[in-house]
Amino acid sequence: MNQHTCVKRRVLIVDDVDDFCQALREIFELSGYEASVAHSGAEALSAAARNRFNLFLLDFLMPGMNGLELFSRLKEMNPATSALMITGMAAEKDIQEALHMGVKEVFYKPINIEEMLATAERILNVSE
Amino acid sequence: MSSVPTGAKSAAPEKKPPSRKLLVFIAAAFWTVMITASLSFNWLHEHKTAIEFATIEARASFNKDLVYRKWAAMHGGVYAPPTEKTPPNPYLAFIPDRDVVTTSGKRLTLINPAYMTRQVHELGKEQNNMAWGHITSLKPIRPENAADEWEAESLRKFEAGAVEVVSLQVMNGRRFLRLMKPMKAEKSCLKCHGHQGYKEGEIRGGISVSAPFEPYAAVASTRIAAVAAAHLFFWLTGLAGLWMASVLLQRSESGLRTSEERLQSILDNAATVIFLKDTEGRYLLVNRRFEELFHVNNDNIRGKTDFDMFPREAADTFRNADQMVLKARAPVEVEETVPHDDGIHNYISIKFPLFNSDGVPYAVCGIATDITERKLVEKKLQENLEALNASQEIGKLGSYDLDIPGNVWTNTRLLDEIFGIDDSFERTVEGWLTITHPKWREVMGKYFMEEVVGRKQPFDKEYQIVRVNDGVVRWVHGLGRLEMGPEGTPVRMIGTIQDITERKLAEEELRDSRERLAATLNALPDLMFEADVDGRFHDYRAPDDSLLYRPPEVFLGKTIPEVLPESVSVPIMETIKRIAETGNSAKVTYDLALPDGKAYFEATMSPKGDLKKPEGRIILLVRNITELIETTHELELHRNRLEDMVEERTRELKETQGRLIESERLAILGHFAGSLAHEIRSPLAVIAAESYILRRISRDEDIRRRIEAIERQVSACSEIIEGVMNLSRTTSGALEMTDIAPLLRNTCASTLFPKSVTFEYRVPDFAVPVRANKVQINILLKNLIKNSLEAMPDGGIITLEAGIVEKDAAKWLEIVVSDTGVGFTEEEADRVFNTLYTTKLKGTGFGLSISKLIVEKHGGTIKAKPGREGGAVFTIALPLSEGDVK
Repeated sequence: MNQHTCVKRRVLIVDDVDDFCQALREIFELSGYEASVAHSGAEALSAAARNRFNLFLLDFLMPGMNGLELFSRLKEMNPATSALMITGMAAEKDIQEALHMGVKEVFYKPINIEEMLATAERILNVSE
Repeated sequence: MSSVPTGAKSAAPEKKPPSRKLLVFIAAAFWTVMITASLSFNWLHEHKTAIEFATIEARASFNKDLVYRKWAAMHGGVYAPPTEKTPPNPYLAFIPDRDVVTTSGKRLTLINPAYMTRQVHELGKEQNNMAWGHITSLKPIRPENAADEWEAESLRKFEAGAVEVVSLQVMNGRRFLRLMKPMKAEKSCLKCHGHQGYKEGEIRGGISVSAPFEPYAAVASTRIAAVAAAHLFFWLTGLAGLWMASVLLQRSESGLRTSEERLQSILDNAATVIFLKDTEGRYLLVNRRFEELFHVNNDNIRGKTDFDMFPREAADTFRNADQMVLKARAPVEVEETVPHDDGIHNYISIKFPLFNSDGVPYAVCGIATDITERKLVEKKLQENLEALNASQEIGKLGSYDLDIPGNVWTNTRLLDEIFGIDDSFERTVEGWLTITHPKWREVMGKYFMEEVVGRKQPFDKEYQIVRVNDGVVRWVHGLGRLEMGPEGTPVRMIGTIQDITERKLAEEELRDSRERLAATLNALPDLMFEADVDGRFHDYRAPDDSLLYRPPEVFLGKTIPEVLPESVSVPIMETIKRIAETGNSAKVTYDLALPDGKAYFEATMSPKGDLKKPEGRIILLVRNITELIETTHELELHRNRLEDMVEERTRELKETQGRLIESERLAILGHFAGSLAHEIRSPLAVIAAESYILRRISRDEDIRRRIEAIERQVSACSEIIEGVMNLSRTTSGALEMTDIAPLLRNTCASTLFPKSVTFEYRVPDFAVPVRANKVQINILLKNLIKNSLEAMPDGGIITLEAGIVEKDAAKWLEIVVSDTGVGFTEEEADRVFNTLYTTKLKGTGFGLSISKLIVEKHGGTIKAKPGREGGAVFTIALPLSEGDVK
């Protein structure tokens, strides 16, 4: 676990399942991040407009705006947006498209938490 | 209107009014007289005034003289020193005191009134511009006082009773106003004149006063000059006014005359009947047409009414209309019937009121046009049109009239029906083209522009249209005749359009049936005969005479029994008899010995026409069935063989069907499992996440151990789901040409293995083209590797070898995966691919069945067998695609 005491890194978790969001928030907080939660694309966009986030965790399938759309909107707001995609099921071509668009990694539910945290660390270290 | 007079008569005025010039001359003369009279009056008046003023002066002078004289007379005369000019009056010598001497010695002589007056008068006379008097008498004492001629006459007038005489007289070349009054002998007078015999009250003489007239004449002249100037001015102005009035009058007169002449000319030459009646219906004026038609003239019609000229009924109608006009005070149009010499005529009359300057109608004017002929023509026209419409309807014939430069056509009602259009349709060439059937549109457009308009050919074309209102396709025949303009270009086309759909259809049907018949006849394989009910041959048709039993010249006109052997003719004749009875067709099969050998025939026989009539015929279609008969035998032999083959194939089919059912089952299961797995993943993710948190925050080793167990089971679930997902992916996804070599390399290189496992692989370093689905091949490889891994919980060696082999004259990609795991027996080997079957401690039982499914989907085979030294060997063969490998 890296100790960044000076500036906490901010993560926004976007998933329509609140339990999952809350669990992930806690996990990231345990790992020293400052984590926020949004339950839809719209919520996520307004949160992103208010605060800067170092990383987004996006559910692929959500009611209304899906993860891919949300990601492209976030990129419009900030081209340097970093995101991980989490999905229950997605077609191969959707995953390819997500990676092509610049999503760093796609995780299938149930996610391997350690792997996800490691990926997050790696991404943020690179981007810093 | 044949009776319209052609020559326009110029109307001569009947009465010539007094000449305008004469009138002007008379007026000018009158004016001159008036002015002259006025001037004369003024002149006389001025003259008289001058005289009056002079008279007043003279009278004043006279009165004053008289007063002085009276004063002197009152004093009995006055004494004045005698001078040379005033010597003692010799005529007073008889008066004792004529000359006196004053006490101081001064000499004085008596100046009597007359003497004094005379002296004063003489003084006045010397003054040029003063009135001066003269005392005189017919019997003067002093001779110098004798009266002049005028005075003498005046004195005589006094004696006759005149009290005053006034007159203008010229004396010594000057004009004077002379006034004279008588002097009566008074008591004081007689002092001097008594000796003459006068008595008191008698006219003794008179004093005349002469006032110079020049000053008055001068004043009068000045005034008269002014008055004359004014008169001259008025005279001239008057004359000028008259002249102008004359000119204007002339103009308006000539204008009026012209317009009167024109009006008269118009009225008289109008083909219409024009009349003017007063409010009581009495004729005021009629035109020549009226005169001619009703044998009247303007002179004798005045004052007459319609009742004097027309039957009561007609007159009533006219009168009513007139009254209506007067009441409405506006023009009214009425149709009237008027009796003529040659019968009743129809008129259309416009009647309107004429108003006087007070706006009160004083007359009704009527303009009536004879529309009898027009009515007849209209009626005829209407009849013609109806006849045309009727005939067009009968002939389904519409007609049109196209204005080519204007690009617009009109048409009869029936064309509306043929085209299915209404008035709103755009009647242009383009509009017409939209009616034409799309397949005809270009042809017709070209035909019209190039052939008809371009080459000036008549329009004559049969084409199809799509009727506008209901979209039905119809055949029409369009005909048209061009009319050329002055430049020789087509300007108009008139023509007809006929709906010929029925005819076309009938034609088509006829042609079809003819063609069908011809085709049928031509397609006839063999022979056709036409015979009557007695079996006599009338006609035949044969593609080849070699099929005929006898040449045509032999059998035509002969009967069947005469031509054919008994074995054939008897059944045929029996059949003919049956057909004649029932009217049904029938078949007869027979054989004949032909030069080439025995031939089999089948005759199909049908009636044609009424067989009871002599022209009734039987048609015999004869087919050579020799080959058919021969092949039937051969067929018999084949059939037995075929049955065997069918049995075999059926068995194969059953097997395939069984496999298909299995794969169908898997596909349904795959789909169901896929969605189930997806649903489970989300809660599983939450469980995993929460477990992770718990493990992180818990310090109790026991709890952590239990949580780890949960996490292990979660990942087990996850793996199961992955397997199920693979199953579901296998059931979908298309195959496409793929180079499998890189796929093999990547999968082998990227798979991670526990340290206890050794993985060896050999894959081709050249392109391996296979019709494959990459995702599924990937799943296949991963499944096989995973299967081996699961079979070796304690580690071992996994080997993957891929290469090209030849089998059944085709090339295959063979992949062999072997392991050193738990393995299976020969018996078990058949079952490893069954769904949910597993020999391993770990594993779902999905992997191999999915692998088999994938391989079969790719048209390949998968086999499992135990390894020589334990473990398992899986051999997969995938067919290589066209194009092969280098």
